[in-house]
Amino acid sequence: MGYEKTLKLEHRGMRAMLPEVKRNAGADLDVRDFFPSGNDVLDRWRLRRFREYQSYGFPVWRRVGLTSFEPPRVEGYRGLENIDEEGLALLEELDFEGSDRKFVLMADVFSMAGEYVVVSSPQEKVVVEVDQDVANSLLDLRGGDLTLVRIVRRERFVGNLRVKVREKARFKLVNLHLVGKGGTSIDNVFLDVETGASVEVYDFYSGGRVNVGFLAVRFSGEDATAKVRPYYAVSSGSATDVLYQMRFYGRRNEGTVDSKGVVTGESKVVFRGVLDILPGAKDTVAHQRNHTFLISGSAKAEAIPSLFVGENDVVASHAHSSSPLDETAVFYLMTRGCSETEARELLIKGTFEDLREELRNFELEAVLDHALEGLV
Amino acid sequence: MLLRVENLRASLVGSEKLILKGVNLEMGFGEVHVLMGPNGSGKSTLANVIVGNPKFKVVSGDILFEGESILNAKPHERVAKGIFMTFQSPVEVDGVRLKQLLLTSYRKIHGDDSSFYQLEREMKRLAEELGLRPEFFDRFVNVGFSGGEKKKSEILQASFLKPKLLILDEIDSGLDVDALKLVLKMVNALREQGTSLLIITHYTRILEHLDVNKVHVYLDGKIVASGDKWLAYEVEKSGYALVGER
Repeated sequence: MGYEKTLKLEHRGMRAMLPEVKRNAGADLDVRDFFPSGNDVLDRWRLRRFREYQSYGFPVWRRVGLTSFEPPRVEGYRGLENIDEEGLALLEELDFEGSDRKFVLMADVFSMAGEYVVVSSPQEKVVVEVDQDVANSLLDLRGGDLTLVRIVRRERFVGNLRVKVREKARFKLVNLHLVGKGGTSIDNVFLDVETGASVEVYDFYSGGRVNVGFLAVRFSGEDATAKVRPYYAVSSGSATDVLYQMRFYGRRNEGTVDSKGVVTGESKVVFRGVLDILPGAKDTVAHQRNHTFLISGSAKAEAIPSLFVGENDVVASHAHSSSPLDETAVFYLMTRGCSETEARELLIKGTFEDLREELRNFELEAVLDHALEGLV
Repeated sequence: MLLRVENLRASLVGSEKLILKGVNLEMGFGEVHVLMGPNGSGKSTLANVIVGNPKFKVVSGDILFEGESILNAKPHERVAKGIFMTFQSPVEVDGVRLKQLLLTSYRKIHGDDSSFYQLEREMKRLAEELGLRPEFFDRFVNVGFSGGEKKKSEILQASFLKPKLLILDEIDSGLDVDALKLVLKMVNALREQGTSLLIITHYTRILEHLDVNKVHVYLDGKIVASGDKWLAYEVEKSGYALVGER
């Protein structure tokens, strides 16, 4: 079974050739790092993926300055050890390429944290702090309403999260990446959304030297909605490269990506948005929007939007922009008694106000405030 | 004397062209002054220079507030001294809630003596007077506000913060008759509490609701005539140019 490609450049039997990713043949995990899970069915699946894993080197990502990757130290297996045949079939169904296949496979084979969970309770809220460098989770949401707050507070991180949101289920994900200074984080999230389901995502990136994020929504059914709100606070010379993909298979689905963030100092953000409306996905509504506030003259923002439309009756748009803080707003706040520094701080923090409001439900605003310290 | 503007000349930063060309103005405590002039004459620039907008530079002259020059004071320091301005077109401030801004501003100007509940009660009272719902304070400042709501928000902020000098830059534009009455009721209340008012306007209708000490006609960057409220009606009848020629 093939996996969901990040870019599927095919049209009426024609296929675009993509340039090959440059790869690095440095130190890598090997068979000595393969620890049995205690679940033979799972381990056979892991071994197959391990063989594929070995066939790739680590990608060289020049845009974020990642030319080599030091693999994490693996000390055992934890993650999907309780999975059954049904769960494995779902794993296959939710197989994907992510930001790079190598890292998706790494988390599949060598995870040290994660779980396989089937959820069908009417309403549940869960806060999970990922406590290992490599994590792999699979959620099968069979109904009801689940809110998952996932906190990644690591020096180094490679992770997968796959979620099947079945018919009419509701799923909210609050995904917080708080990477330690100098660290590298690579997170791949794949959501499959069935008929009538709804998804809401708050995805926050801060810290680290290199932060790479991938989040895909696959609309496999009809009449579903997904609202994705990415946020990023990039400082201290770090680079963040995020890709948000929505692929529409069925009819009358509605997906929006509405992103904003702040970049300071010598830092950089690369924002990629892919909206892919396949033939047959009639009456799709798909929008992506991104705005970056550049707080210093040397801060950089690069936007790479892609809109693939293979169906006539759709509404689709993308808009990307960057600007310094609005000096008129700074002055306005100063005429209300704020010093210039306070005014800028209010505006920068204001960029994340909707996220803070969401975190207030879990008394986690301090986590965000801490991450934003020193941005001004 | 509360405010004394002495032969003030100012231009945009980076430009040699003067916008204020020698403005002289004196306002006593508790006084109400009206500044009238045609579009583009520099009325709003004068207001912006008084509150310290960094877009403008003072070339010569001085601004004294309660006897002290404020030319070197930053905008927030001028607010702390008691100068407040309502804007003609207030900017949208995304991500900053009105309540948050009001509480921050109040404490900066008046200190921490009042409790959160006292301040919140006062906010609600003011909102009620202006016909605004309490949820108004939870909205981001001016984001998605109608023109009337923006003006109400501005006067609400002024009423809450109780400045010594309130500069109203075209507070009456874009307001319907009922909304204007509500806004001017609050302006009058501020006046009764001792706030001095400098009102920039194009219309005489504001004079029907306010007792005014002086009306100034402002042409091409300076005040060319001053008088009582009848000067405003003369302007309305004869036009700015004729009044300026007297």
